[in-house]
Amino acid sequence: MGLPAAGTVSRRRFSRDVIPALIAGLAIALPWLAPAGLPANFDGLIRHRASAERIGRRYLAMLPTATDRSRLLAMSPALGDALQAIRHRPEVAAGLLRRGINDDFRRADTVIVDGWVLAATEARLCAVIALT
Amino acid sequence: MFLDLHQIPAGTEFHADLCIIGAGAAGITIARQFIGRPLAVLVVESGGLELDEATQALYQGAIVGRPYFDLDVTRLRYFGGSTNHWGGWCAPLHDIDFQARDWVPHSGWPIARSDLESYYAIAQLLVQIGPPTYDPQVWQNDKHRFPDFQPERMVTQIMQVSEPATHFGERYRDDLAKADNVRVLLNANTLGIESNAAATQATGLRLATLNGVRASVRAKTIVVACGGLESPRVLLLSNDVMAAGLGNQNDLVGRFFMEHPHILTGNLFATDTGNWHHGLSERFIKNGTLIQPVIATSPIAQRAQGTLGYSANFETPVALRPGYPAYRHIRDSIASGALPDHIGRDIWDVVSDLDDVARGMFRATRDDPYHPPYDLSRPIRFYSRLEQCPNPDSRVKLIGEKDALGLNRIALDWRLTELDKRSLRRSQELIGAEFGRLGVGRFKFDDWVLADDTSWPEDLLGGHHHMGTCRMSDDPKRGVVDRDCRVHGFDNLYVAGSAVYATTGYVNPTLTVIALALRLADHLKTQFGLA
Repeated sequence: MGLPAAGTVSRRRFSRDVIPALIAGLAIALPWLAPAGLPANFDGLIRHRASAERIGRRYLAMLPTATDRSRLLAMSPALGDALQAIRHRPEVAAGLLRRGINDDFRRADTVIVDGWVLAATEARLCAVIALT
Repeated sequence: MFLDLHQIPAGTEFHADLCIIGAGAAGITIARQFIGRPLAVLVVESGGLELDEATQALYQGAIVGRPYFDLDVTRLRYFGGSTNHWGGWCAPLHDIDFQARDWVPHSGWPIARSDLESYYAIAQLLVQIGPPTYDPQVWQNDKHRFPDFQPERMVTQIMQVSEPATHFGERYRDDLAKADNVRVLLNANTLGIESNAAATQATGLRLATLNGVRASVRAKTIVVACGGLESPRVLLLSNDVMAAGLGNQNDLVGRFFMEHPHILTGNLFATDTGNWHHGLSERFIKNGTLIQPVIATSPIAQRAQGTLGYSANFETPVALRPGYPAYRHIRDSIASGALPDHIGRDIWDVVSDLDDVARGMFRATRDDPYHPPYDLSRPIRFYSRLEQCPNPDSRVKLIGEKDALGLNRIALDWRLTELDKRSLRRSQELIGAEFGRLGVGRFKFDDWVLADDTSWPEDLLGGHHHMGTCRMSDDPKRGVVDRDCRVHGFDNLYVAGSAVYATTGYVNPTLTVIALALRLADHLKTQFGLA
């Protein structure tokens, strides 16, 4: 699946692809992020990844300075912890990430990316995907 | 009793202790409070008992600011006034709506919500809705649960719906007809209010019918109750003594026009497609009262974020089903003695969609209105209703064009501010965070909301709520009327209705209009020694 023709991620695609990937299917989606451990069904997930990358690039463009992966992880400890855990305990990683996102929403630590109100951790997850 | 100025000899002079201009929600409410009292009350109404095209045309005017409804469409000029097309939504203003908020210019009423509390309770009865409680916990039921919002962010705002909406002209006509001390003078257009040379005492009115019958009124006290567009017009046209119009010594009459901007502003994409949204998606009846829940930012959030009031209702997509509507079509046609136009198709729809027929019939047995199944694979649209920031440049003013009576028409110059836009944006960001916290989905702004600080789409309209044009303040330099709704500088001239609003909150205005009218009636009773 290619990127949207227009400069935005379509609402339908975000709803259908990214949200299920990020929220409901974190345990499946997270292996994307392991540089040396792409899952066998990577091709089946690539459509999620394209949309997430788009959001991630938008988010990175909003930041005042160029930001690399390590800085993103430092900005969201839950994201860093999740990535640490991902290789060996993906279910733990998904839980950590989910908790981090919930904490963001509870504290109103949100960002607006492409019109979406996202948890900061969520946006940084997309940014990490874009940088990976 | 009812009189028609068409039937009265030309040149008649009416005498009254209390003269009320306008027989809408406010005027009728005040008049009813004096039934049986030792006081001569005269209600002067421009229209008759039914809508009349020529009279309604007197409401025509120009739109020179933001797009708005035609001025002769957004209100009604006959007995009962705009309650004749009222939607029936009711809720009282909140404490915060009356308070001075340092982030909202020109905010703050000289009265508090507590000053209206007892009047709201009576107003609930007058519009035939339920008890004066708006606690969502009281109104939710097993099917219609409300999300567990954090009170520092959001609340579920209960709107009680007068259904069918109480049309004051129909509902209270007999009360006034039977009252010996109340006369309702129909087809009597006010040409102007007269005052003494010092402009401290209103003395009477000049009246005319559309076919040229002239009359006058001598009254001890006059109440202008013509709505938020016409009340300032009446004061501005009353310029025999004060060239700028009565009460307009500080150039405030007609300024601060406010509406509740209504507009689609974003979408909630549900990741939880369960039943969590039912309480917000549909109207329902509890204990005989029709409830329309909406979401709103809480007063705590408004203070913390420096925003105006914000509310929205869910427009939840439905999967249209043919079964029950076809069944209903057949049933209703037969009940009215006819066969449906397309009976073959209707029967097929019923037979092929028995699930929906059964669901509809089951709900009907429980006094639960039929609703097609929801389809959360599509987004829930947010229809937002906003509080507007008071703005002196948003105004009603006289223009050169004249109506059939030779009176200057008005132009409406409705304007919004940067705070209005910023409040919408910030409120929705909070709401997006809250729905994320609840784990039910993600919110996406409509693009225009984020575009810049001042632009609004052309299709933004209001709720036909005309407010603020004779605003209330204890300071004559900041308001047209004082806390008793008395025009500054006058002993006996008052304004009733939504024109006196200092700020509007986000809830519909009619219930507060009636509460304010009841409070004004009590004040007038004291003035007449009847308390």
